Amino acid sequence: MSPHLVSSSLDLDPDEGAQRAEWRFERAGWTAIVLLVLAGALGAFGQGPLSQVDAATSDARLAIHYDRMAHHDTPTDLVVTLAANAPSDSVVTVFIDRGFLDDADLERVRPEPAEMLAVGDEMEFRFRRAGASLPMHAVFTITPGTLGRRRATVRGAGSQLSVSQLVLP
Amino acid sequence: MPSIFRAAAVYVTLLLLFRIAGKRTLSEITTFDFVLLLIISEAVQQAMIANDNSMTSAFFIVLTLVGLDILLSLAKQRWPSVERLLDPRPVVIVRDGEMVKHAAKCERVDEEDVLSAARFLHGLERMDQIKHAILESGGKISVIPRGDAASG
Repeated sequence: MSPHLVSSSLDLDPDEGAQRAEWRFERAGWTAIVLLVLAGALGAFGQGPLSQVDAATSDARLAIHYDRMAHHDTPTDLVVTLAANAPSDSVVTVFIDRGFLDDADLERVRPEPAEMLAVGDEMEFRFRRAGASLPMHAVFTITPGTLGRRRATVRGAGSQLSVSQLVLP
Repeated sequence: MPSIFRAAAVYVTLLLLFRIAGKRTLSEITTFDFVLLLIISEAVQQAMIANDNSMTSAFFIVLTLVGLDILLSLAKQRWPSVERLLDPRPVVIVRDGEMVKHAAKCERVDEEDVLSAARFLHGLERMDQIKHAILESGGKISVIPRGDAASG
């Protein structure tokens, strides 16, 4: 019945079909491991090129950069850029949905905002800008505290953009 | 996520991963395998404890891991199909002094591995002194010498 895998004098389970299925399962598993490692290296599960999102408004006055995939309890950056041609006030303001920040720890904001205010459903961050001719980057380091999809709207310079981030365990 | 669920997730992931890796993985601990084990334990440690360094958390993680192990052994005893699913089967890799090439290749065992086990277990010198060699579920190679080789 199964001349290769068993011997008549040995008391072994002679289920050759199951043994071959086991080998097929192992081979499929090895392929899955290689694919997962490659996908992970490319950032399909966060922290890599595939995970990074760059979005900007059509007038390019507001741009954001963030990770599409974030990890639970691991800091991730949301970079908000207000272009040089944004309103030339010395103070610029960025609004982020409060829900997005309430579900997470806002570890740090660079540069440090002059003021942080809770305004309705949003958090308002006011930054002093050194010169109106320079774009301003604000980096929000956020540690997600919940799993699953997180969405937010970021507003600044009269424009708005959406953030959609999946938090993995 | 409570540490109990994190520990259970790590347990299931490692169980699946080492099932995929096959019998030979970490079956004989070389120096590098030992280092690899340490690295793996370091890597999963953070995932299990997260930011909870309390003794309560450690206590429940250990309880979860040991409890799952007991549960699984009971399930394997109660339902043979679970055992067949979770434990690899022993495979004959030498029959009547001849390597069963396909099985050996699939299990990543070569003639040198078999001869090494034969020397270590029975002081055998050649392949033709081996009646059967079996790669056991745990990854060890057991060797049954021919009658004349055993007596001689």
